[in-house]
Amino acid sequence: MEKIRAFIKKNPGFCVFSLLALAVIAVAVFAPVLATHDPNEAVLANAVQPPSAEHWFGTDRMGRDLFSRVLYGARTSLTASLSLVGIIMVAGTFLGIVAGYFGGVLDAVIMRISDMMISFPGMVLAIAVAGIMGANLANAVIAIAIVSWTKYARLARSLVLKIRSRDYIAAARVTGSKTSHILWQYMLPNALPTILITGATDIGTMMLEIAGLSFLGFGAQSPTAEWGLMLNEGRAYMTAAPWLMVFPGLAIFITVVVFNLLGGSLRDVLDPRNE
Amino acid sequence: MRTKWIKKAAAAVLAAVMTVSLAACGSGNGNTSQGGGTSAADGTHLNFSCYNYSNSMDPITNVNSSWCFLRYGVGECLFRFDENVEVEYALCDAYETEDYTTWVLHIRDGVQFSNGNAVTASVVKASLERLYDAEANKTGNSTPSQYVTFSSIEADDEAGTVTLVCDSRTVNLPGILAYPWYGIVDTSVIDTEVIGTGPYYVTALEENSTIDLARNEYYWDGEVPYDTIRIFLTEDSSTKAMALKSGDVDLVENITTASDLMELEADDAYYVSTTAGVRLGNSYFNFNGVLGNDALRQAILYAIDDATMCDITVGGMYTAGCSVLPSSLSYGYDQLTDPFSYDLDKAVETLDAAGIVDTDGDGCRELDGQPINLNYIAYTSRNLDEFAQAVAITLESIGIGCTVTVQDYDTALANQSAGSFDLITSNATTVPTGDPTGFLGNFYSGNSGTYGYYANDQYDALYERLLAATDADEQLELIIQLQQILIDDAATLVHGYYNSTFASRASVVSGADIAPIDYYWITTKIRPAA
Amino acid sequence: MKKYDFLKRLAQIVIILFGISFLTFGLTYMAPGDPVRAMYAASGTIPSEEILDETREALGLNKPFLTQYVSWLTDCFHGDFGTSYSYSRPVAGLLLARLWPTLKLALLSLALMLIVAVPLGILSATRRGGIADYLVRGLTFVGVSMPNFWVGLLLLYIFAVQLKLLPVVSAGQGFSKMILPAVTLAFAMAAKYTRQVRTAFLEELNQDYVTGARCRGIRESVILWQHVLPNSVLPLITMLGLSLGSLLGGTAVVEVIFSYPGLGSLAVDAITSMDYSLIQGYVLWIALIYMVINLLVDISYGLMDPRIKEGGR
Repeated sequence: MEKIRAFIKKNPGFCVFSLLALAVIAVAVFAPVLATHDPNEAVLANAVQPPSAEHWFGTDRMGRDLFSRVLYGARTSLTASLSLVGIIMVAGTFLGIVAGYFGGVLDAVIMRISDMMISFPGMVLAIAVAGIMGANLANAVIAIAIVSWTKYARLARSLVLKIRSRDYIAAARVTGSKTSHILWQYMLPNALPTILITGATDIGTMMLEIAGLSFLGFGAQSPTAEWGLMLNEGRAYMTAAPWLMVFPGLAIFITVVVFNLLGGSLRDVLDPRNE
Repeated sequence: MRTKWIKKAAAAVLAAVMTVSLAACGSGNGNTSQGGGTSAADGTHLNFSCYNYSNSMDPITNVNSSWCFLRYGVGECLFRFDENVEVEYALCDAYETEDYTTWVLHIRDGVQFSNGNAVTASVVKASLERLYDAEANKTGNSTPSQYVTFSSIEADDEAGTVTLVCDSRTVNLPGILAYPWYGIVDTSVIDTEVIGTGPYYVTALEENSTIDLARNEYYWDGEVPYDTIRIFLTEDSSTKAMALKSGDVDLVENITTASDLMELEADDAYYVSTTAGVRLGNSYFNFNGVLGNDALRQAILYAIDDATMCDITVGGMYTAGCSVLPSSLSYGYDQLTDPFSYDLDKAVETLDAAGIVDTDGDGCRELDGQPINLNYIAYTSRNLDEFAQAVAITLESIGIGCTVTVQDYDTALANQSAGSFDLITSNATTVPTGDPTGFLGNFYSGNSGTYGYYANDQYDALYERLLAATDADEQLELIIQLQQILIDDAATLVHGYYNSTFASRASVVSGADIAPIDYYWITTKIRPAA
Repeated sequence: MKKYDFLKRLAQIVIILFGISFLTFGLTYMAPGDPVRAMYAASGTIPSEEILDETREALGLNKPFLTQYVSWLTDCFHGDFGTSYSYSRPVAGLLLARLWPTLKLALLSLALMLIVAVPLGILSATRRGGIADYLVRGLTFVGVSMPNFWVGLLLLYIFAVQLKLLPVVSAGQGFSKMILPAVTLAFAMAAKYTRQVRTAFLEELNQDYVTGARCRGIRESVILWQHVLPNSVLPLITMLGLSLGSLLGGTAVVEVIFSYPGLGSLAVDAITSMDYSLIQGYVLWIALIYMVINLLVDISYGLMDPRIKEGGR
């Protein structure tokens, strides 16, 4: 208890932002409770109504309650971006550690592939991949993952290289520790803090990229409640029904801000040297 | 020392970046002088915004390019349709035929192309031959033989006549020749530019951006009101509406966003011309899939609230109806009865009665033990995707699974021809040549392979009689019967009839009325407001 | 940069291009959908199976994957990137026509971004901990967190629809047509760069020579403008190069919103209409341009800063 209080005192920012992030996650989890309507219930005759007591954010062109859809959109966006960050973090770190520890051909192959991805504007390939594989949210996540894992691989590799030649690793090797043990016991913990910080700061960016693909029509498909898609649907009604554009946009913005702040403060906690 | 050097270098680079950027903007700046509003103090100018259907205006390229040829007021056909979709003379001013196979068309005297070349019988012959040659050797994608094929085309420049010998009896040849494919081009210069006889000609073209037109000084049919016209090719409907409101353009075609259209209609500063169009918006059922089940199709027709979808979902862009032929045309719409008009309870009853129920409690009904999940393909043109989504949402609400995939037109058409769909949206002109026979053929079992495999022997027999009929009353009677069969069979999901619109700034433009058959946009009737 | 390094980089570029060409070709090869059908559909005709097969034969689309890949690559070497069926024109010409508008847009947005980011970054660094600093840092936060398509929509709504300051449609790729998309693109970038300038500036302010100069009584403004600024701005050049590269590929969303006829909107069109040769050509081009820009940046950087020796800092 004492420790927790000290931690809070030392890292007030982190605590506040964690709470905010938890609140966003709570909105996603408890969307069914919080929502005033079924997000997919369409009353065609009630299309494009302005915000009112009945529909707090108004209704969309299919007569669905926008407030409820924005809440449910948190589920879609968070699930997609968290799983995306999870995938690239795990895959990237694994490949990076393997490349760094074993070196040789394995290293060369992994790093050349990573060069290929990095020497290339990610969004281009992501659009191409998502478009070619067919437009849906899962493919959009895969597409972005394909072009984004390299950052983690490079990071993990450089961290591994830094300590590979240290004495205690050599000692572990001499005493006959299994390779998997060394990787798990020494390499991973060493790389983890940096990787976690990068991952946390990446959540916001990834959310924007997923929303961007959905906006272009290469991500989530109707009738999914997804913010990027909702913005695209609302775009045609910009002059007559600006609320269709304002609320989903605000939702993305707020969520991204919260996760960006969280990422930044996590860096301060784990790596105080960095300003 | 070092820092100074670096500073210079850095400054130089920054300066370079800015200069290049500013130069870049500068070079573009010149083009924009005519950007918005009615420019050019001297002379009359019109700014028109429309969707870009094709970057080509050559009738042989494809359907859309031929339409652009006519729509931009650049080209004309031998015949044209008036506002009642009746054929009238255009470049041809008289014809004779005895047996509806050999036609002698007289070419209007004194007509010139916009480059001053005379429109002679032999040029007309060359233009038509070029069209068929392009189809034969695949240099073009237009398929004129779809409507008529000729065993010979002869020109007599002395008499000013072209003699067309059709391969079969073709009663409606003038209507067919009014279709944009058969637009007449100056074949002597076609390798370098597309020249027609329309009131305007192209002076400059920037792909996907703008087309500049100028008055055709040689125009044959009355005065041409504008010195110059600039066409802004605009992808989405909202942008068109905004451009009209901001004054960037004076006239726009087909605003398909309901909210924008309502706003414009409510404002006296704008003149909105709407016409009950000749286009049918519908979704074809695939009879080779689960939708071969009669009860399921009937339930779908019961479940769909066409009136609300037409009035609210697409904001009045369509007029609701039950038949494949628009109610505005004189094909006996009043005599038809619709047994499946909107009734959600009946839809559920029908499904339950047919044993299409949810047995495993997942909220989705099953047919023959398989959960129903309809593959609904839509494309974004003319609100079709909105219909599809509204339909899907409605069907989901009564336990019929339905997934909408929005594709571009070409991909959707490819899927349609491959038969890989359960439902697919469509928006087509029902009387492309002034006659619905061709369109009704979509449901003839000999042709219906690409429209969902509908088949009904009685329909086929009546349709064959229609093809042979020459008497107008008999034709009408058959057409009415055919329509009723389609309704009774729940052959297709009719959404409604597309209303074409023109919206213009009332203070600047007059006479901007849209023609029911949408081959014509820019005409000499559109003129500066007095 | 040494000659050897340069050659090594060139070799690397070639290898990477190979990889990317293989990847894109493989992806389009595996992609669902039938390009031949789509090709016919584009013309509004519905072909029979025989015609489809004939066309596949004629286009070599029924040959094994590797054969197709090699013949495609050989053609690319000859500058022939194939023909786009949706435009019925050579891919290379299409891309070239769209390159300049996108390049203009990218350069303008970079310039706009610099005009905003450099002063703000300096302001924030020199007033470190002050109100200005907090304000600027807050703004940068907003900048990086707003989806650029939302920014674009809001700008369009405010300036073109509500205030009617800018034309909604205009001819060509004139300045007035470029300004909103450029501002949109500059928005997020400016936030990133402001932070960068601030960090670089602070780092430089902590250098010994600054302290020394202060001790020698040199005026603060002289120190700032003549020493700190040039030294801290230099690293930006690398970033600028990278940004230019990613802008060429990253303008798609903004181009779509503002219906700006550039490479990005071309790519989106190509993908929705399954125009494979166009997609392949586009991806390959962007990769090539991006890598050449990076190479040029590295070279110029090496030339400008004698501190950079091979092996990096």
